[in-house]
Amino acid sequence: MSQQLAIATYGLTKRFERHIAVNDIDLQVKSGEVYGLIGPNGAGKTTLIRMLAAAEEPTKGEIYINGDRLLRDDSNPHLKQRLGYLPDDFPLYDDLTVWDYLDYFARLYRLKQPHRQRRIYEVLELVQLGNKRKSIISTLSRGMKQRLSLARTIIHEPILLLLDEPVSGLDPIARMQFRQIIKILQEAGMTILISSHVLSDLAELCTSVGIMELGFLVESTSLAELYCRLSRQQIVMATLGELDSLQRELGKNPLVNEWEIIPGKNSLKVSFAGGETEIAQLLRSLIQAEIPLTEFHCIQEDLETIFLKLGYQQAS
Amino acid sequence: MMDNILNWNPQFFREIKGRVKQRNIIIASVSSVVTQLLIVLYYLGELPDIDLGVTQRSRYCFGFVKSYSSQHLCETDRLGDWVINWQLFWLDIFICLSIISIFSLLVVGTYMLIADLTKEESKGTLNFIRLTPQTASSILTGKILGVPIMLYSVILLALPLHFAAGLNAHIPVSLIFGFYAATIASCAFFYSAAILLSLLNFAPVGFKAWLGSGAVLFFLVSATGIAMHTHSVSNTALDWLIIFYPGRVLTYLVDATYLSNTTVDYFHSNGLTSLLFYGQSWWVKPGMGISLILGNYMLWTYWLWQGVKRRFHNPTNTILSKEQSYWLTGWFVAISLGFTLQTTRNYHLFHNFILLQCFLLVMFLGLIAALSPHRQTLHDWARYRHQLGKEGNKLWKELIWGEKSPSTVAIAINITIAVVYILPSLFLFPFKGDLSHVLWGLLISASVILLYAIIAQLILSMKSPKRAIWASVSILSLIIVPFVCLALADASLGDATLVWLFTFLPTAALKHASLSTVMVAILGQWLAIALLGFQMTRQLRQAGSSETKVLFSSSNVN
Repeated sequence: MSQQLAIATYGLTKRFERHIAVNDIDLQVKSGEVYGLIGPNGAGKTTLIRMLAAAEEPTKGEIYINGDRLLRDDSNPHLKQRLGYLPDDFPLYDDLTVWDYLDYFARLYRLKQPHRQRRIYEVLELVQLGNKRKSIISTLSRGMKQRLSLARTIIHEPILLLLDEPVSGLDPIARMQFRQIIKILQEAGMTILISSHVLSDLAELCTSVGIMELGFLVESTSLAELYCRLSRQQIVMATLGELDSLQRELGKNPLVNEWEIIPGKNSLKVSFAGGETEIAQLLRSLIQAEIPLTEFHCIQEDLETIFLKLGYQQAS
Repeated sequence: MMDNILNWNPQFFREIKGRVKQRNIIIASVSSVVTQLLIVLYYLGELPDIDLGVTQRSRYCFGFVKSYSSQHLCETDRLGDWVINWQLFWLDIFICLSIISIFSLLVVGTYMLIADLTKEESKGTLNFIRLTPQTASSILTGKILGVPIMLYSVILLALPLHFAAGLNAHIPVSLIFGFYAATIASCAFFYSAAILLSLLNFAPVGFKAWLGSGAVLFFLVSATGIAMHTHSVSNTALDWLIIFYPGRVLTYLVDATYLSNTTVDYFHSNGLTSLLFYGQSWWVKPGMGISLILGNYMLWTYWLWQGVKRRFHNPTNTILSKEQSYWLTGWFVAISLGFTLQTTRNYHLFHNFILLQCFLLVMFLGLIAALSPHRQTLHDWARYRHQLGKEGNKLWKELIWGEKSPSTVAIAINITIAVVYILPSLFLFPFKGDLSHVLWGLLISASVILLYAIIAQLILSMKSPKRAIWASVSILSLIIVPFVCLALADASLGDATLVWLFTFLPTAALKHASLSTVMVAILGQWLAIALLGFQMTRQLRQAGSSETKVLFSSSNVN
C-alpha cells in the first residue's frame, strides 16, 4: 500500500527527555497532494517535518517515501534526490552569488551540463530572481532570500517538497508571490507538505490538511471532507432599515440557527441549516416582509474558524 | 581540465568559488615570495662578506673549527675567492623551507578547517549538504582540498625553490618525493582529526579551532625539538608519537647528502636507524622507513575517517561503533606494545611498561568518549529497546554490539583485549623480579579504567546540557587529584601505597605494597564498580519505564 503513497509513516515518535514531541504518528499523504499541517506552536509540526526530511533521527517508527524506507545515513542517495526540504530558517552562503549558490547545489544533486544550466535558469525565472543572478547573496532582501532558498529546494526537481513555515516573516506581496510559485509546483505534479500559521494561505493551496496537537495527529483528511463535515453554511445580510425588524423576521424561520451582528455595518451573519431551495424561500419571505435588503449572499466558514471551533488551541 | 576537476567534487567547486578571488591570490603570492626571499637573504647573510678582508668565520666555510662552535674559519682559494660549502648552504635552505611548510600546512590548515566546519554547523548550512545524495567522503574531501586552497598555493609557489635547494644539496629525487608523500599523508591525518574534532559537540564554536591548532602546534614544536636532537630515539612507546611528525623523514634526506653529523648538526643519521619494533630494526633503509611512516598515517587516518563518516551523517551517533572499537584497540595495543618492547634490559622494560600504561590510559579515555552514548540516546534505548532491538532483543548482545546501549560492557571487552594481547609478552620478556608487580599493575589499572568508564557513562546520563564537560572534568580530576595530593603530602612511592593503587599508574608503587594492600585496593575498586553499575541499572530502569507507569508511581507518591 505504501507504494501508492508519497509519504507513509508508521508509529513515528520523537522524544526529547521524557517529553514526546511527536507521538506515534501514522501519516499518509498521496502523490500529487498539497498537504497542509496546522497546529499551535509546540505541537510537533517542525519535528515531524525534520524527521520526514531525514534532518532528525526518529526515536521510533518508520518513514517511507514513495515506498522506500528513509534512513539517516548515506545508504539511500536516490531517496535524497527525490526530497526537497525548506526549513523555517534559511541559512545561506553570504559570500556566493545567486548563480554560484544554485550551481553548487545543482552539482551536489548531480545535475549534469547542459541540463544543469537550463535548470538554474528555469528556477531563477520561477522565483523571479533572474535579474539578481550575479548579485552576492548578502545583498538580497529577506523575501528574495526566501525565494532563493525555495529555488535551492527545487533545483533537483524533487517529487516531494517539505516546506516548514515558508511564508513566516514575509510581507503580503512576497507571500502572494510565494503562493503563486507553490501553485505552479503543484501543477507540475509535486507532492507538497507545508506547515503554516497563515490558514488562509493553506485553504487556498491545500488539498488535504492534518491537525497536530501535543504531538498527536488529531485530524488528517481532505480539505473538501473537512468543510463538508465541519463548516456551517452562513448567509450575510445587510439592510437599509432597522436590524431589529430583520432579526424579528429571522426568528420566525425554523432553519435559522443563530446570527451575529457584524460590527460597524448594518448587517448580520446568519447560520442557516437549509439547502438552496430553503435559502430562496428565506429571501422571498424577507422581501415580502418589506425588509429593505441591500446584501444577501452565502459564505462558508473558513479554515481558521473551523480550526478554532475544533478547540485545538492548547500549546504543548 | 579545470571544469573536470570542479565537476568531480561539488564541495571543492564551492570552496574555489568562495575563496579564489583576485585579492586572495595577490596576498598568497606576495606572502609566499616575500617569505622565500627573506629565507634566502638570511642564509646569504651567513656567508662570509666578499668585501671584508679580515678573518671571518661561517657555518659554510671549510676551515678550522673551534670546539663547542659551529663556525668554521673561512679560507680563500688561489684565485682569492671564498671556499664555501654550498651543499650545506642549500641543505639549510631546504630544511628551513620544509619545517616552515610543515608548520604552516598543519597548524594553519587545521585552524582553517575547524573554523570553517564549526561555522557551517552553527549556521545550519551543513544540514543542507547532509540532505544531498553526496557521501561524507566526497563532501569532506572537497573541504580538505578546498578550504586551505590559498595556503596550498602559498606552499606550491615555494615548491620550485624547495626542490632546487634539495637537488643542490645532493638529496636524491626519490627521497625528496618521499618527504612530499609523508607531508601529504600527515596533512590527511591531521586534517581528518580536525574534521572529527569539529563534528564533536564539546566546546564553544570559536574555541575549537584554537584548541585544535594549538594542540597541533604544541605537538610540532615538541616533535621538531626531539627529531633535531642528537638522541631522538628513546626506545619507548614515545617513539611511536614521533613518527607522526612528517619531519622525521628529513633524517633520511640529511643522511643521503653524506655530510657529516658534526657539519650538519641536526637530524642525525642515527635518528631512525636505532628505532626498533618488536626488536626488529625496520627503519634502517629509507624506502622501508618512509613506507612504514606512510602506513602508520594511513592506518590512523582510516580510523579517524570511520568516526568522521558516522558523525557527519548523524551527529547524535557515537564516534565509533562497539565492533569498530574492538578492532581499534587491537591495532593500538599491537603497535604500542611493539614500540614498548624495544629493549631486553629489565630496568628499561619496567619503565617502558609504565609508559605503555599511560598510552593505554589515553586510548581508553578516547574510547570512553567515543563509545558512551549521551542521556537522550540512553533513555530512548532503555524505553524502546524491546521494540527497536536488532540483536534479537537479547540484552548481552545489545551491550556488546548495540549502537545505543551503554558503553561499560564494551569498554570491559576492550580492556580484556588489551590485557590478553599484552600478557604473553610479560612472560616472554625478562621482567624477572618485576613480573608480579607488572601483572598486578595491569589488573589494577584495568579496574581503574573500568571505574572511569562507568563514572563517565553515569555523568553522561545526567540532566545537564554540559554533561560532556562535567564528565571530562570529573575523570581528569580523578586522574590528577591523587597525584597532586601525593605531591602536596611529599609522599614517595613507599608512602601511602593504597592511594597510589587508586591512580591510573599503580605499577610504580607496587614494589612497596604488601599483598593485603593490593587485595584491599582491588576489592575496593570492584566494590565501587559494582555499586556504580547497580546505580546505572536503576537509572536506566527508571528511564525505561512507560509514561503510564511513571504517572501511576507519581500518583502513588502523592
